[in-house]
Amino acid sequence: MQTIRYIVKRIGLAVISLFAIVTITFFLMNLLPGDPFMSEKATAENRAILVAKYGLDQPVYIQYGRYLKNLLKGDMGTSYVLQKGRPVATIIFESFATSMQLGVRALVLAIVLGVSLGSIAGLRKDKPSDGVIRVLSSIGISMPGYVIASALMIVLAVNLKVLPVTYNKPGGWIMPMITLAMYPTCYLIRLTRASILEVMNQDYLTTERAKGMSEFIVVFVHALKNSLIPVITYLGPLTASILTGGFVAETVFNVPGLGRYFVSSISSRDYTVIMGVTVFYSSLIVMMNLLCDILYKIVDPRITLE
Amino acid sequence: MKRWNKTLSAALVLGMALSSVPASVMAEEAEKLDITVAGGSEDAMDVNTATTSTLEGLSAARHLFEGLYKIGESGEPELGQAASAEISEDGLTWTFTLRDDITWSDGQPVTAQDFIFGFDNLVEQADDYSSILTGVASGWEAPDDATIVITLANPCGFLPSVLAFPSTYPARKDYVEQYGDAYAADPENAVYNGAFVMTEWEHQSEMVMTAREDYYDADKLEVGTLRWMLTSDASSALAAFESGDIIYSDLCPDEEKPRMMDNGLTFAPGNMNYCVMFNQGPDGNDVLKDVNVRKALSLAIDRERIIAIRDLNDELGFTYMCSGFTNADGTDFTEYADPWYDVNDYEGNCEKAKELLAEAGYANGEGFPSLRYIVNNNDRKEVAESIVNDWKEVLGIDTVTVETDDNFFADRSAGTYDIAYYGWYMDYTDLSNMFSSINTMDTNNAFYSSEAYHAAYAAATATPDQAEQWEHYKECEAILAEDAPVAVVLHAMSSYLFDDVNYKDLVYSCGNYIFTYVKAV
Repeated sequence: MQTIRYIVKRIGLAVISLFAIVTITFFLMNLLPGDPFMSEKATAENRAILVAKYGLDQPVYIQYGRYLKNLLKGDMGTSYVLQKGRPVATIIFESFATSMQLGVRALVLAIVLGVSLGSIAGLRKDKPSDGVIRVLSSIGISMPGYVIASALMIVLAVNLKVLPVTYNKPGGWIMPMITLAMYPTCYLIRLTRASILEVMNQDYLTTERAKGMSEFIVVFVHALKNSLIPVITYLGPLTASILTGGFVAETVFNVPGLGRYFVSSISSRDYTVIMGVTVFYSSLIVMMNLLCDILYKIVDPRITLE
Repeated sequence: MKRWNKTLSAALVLGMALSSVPASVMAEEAEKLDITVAGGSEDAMDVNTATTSTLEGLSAARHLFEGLYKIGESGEPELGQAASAEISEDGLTWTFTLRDDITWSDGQPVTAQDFIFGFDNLVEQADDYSSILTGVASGWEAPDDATIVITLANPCGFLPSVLAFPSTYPARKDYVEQYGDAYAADPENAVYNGAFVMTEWEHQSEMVMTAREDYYDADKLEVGTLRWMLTSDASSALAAFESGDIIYSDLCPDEEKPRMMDNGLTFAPGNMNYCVMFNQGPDGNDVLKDVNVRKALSLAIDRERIIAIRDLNDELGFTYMCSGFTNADGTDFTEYADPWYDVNDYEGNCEKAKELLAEAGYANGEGFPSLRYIVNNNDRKEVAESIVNDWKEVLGIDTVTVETDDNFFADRSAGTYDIAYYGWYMDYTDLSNMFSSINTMDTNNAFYSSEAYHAAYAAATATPDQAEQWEHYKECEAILAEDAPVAVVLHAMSSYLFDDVNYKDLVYSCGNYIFTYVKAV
């Protein structure tokens, strides 16, 4: 009962957070200089007609009220620039489906590789395998996405010609998946390793060993489970960000995902798309954080949600 | 033995299946090309002819729709959906008769009313090219289903260029009214009267255009499927080109251009001028209303150095018009007109600039007011800083600050600046397009006005005789050189990657790329 009450409270807080995000984003967006109809050949007269057509000549608070009203009805408006005339909800739905498809693959790769290699490194502290994993993860974590993407493209697509450059060709998802998974994999390796090292020094494990429990049970049943708590904390926002795609991977490999819109909607002043992706992404983050809190409780019943 | 039997049976079945396919179909399928090209990003890809304004969107629209004229294989305008054009003696009335074999992709005939609706819709949409037709035409009507009459305010020899421009293409009223802003935003949201029909559009990724069998010239065209990759990343476009995934890219990273020079990179006239614009409007600093100041600032620019900094094969800017336009004698217009300054004597130009500035009352830059020089990206900022440095070194002016303006286009068109980057990309290959840019207040963000210039421009556009036209345009150049509303810095070149080893007949005109006529070598 207490848990349910807490979850309801958290959902209420999430709605308030979302409202605050929508409001702040809307007003900040309107502070940006320019409008969606800036172009080399646009005349002042035509720009004025277009601005009026979409109601952008009205006071910002009126535009805000209209946006909120439409949003509550599920109408996010249509794109002014990026996919001119298409409903923002359709754009998000289509591109999120692609990002999610790629993101799930990258997420699975990151979790499997990150947790397993991190555990190996932690359990074999200061052994050669620990050293190799640490060096590789340090390199991976410090390499910018576009370097990874370019290197993969030059080696695998241009020189060896084993994979296509673009996403829509067979096997086209492999390189963007690796690019997208690289940073979280390396981060998870380090996180898991650090967490395992911390847990392995806990008194209760010494007690368990003293009681005669096998090392396998000590490590895999008790130590690993508890060491996953910080990993789960990271998995919430990671899932939200990886599922919504990455700007670099999507741009370089021409993935028709959502990630590109975080940047391109702002640079092109596509107001409705800016708001749409903000609402969608923040809802996802809030939801993932909520799920993480519930997962804590499952992993460690001592944690109270209060 | 069993395996041999199976193989033999399979071969027989395959042989029978193949023999049942008519030879003509096989030959036809074998002839049609399936090509992939990279031609712009999703955000540039608007194929609604009334609203599209980017080179990428215009290029794509040229494949799907067609006007009374089209850009032919030669790169010049030729009759498209019109079978004939009759011009009245005074040159003010053009009567077009439509072909009798033209249809939309849903099988309905293309009618004169579709054109009239297209023209009206263009004006109503109020987008970048909404005045391209009203700039020359005073009215249009369709006396019957196959006839269109366009009335002009003044004779206009370049009307075919305007009517070959996608903004003046027809549109189907039922589709435009049904889909509104989403017209042509998805394949099923429009019908097409061009050589291709859009069959797929995976947004942000690829458009697929398929050749129309009922297009009147279908038999002459070899491209069967045109896959249009949508990307804004030059490196991935280059990688796709080098890996053989695409045969054309309008993007190539600048630093890779030297390497690609003999590997498919082609430079073409950019049909644009790159200028420094001086605001003579009410909100510009008064100092720029003094022609001596403007001329001094122009003369002091070390253009050769800027071209070296950019390293993009630019041509020196010494006329408003760019190169690439020749008369019957083969003389390029830039050689025909008088240069704005002595291109071989930068030192002399600098001395003259100092004198002019002193005449204006700012000897050695003393007392020169603070000016705001706005640009819209980092590349242009680099050039602007080089120019400001010239003004400081040569003229002693150190009060000009360069600013990357997030609201650049709005500020420039509103006149809330002192000095700005300005460049005019020609829309079609007629000199009038370049000279019109500084003639009308719509695009003339310098707020420059000259009766003499207006008269010379009007005289040039009114005559169909090229020799006479060129004389008037030469006069336009002389007036601009004297008034210096802008300082022309350079004429940029366009470049693209094309697999000219395996393919030929790409049409590249004013930055538009047309794959309709592409053939295998």
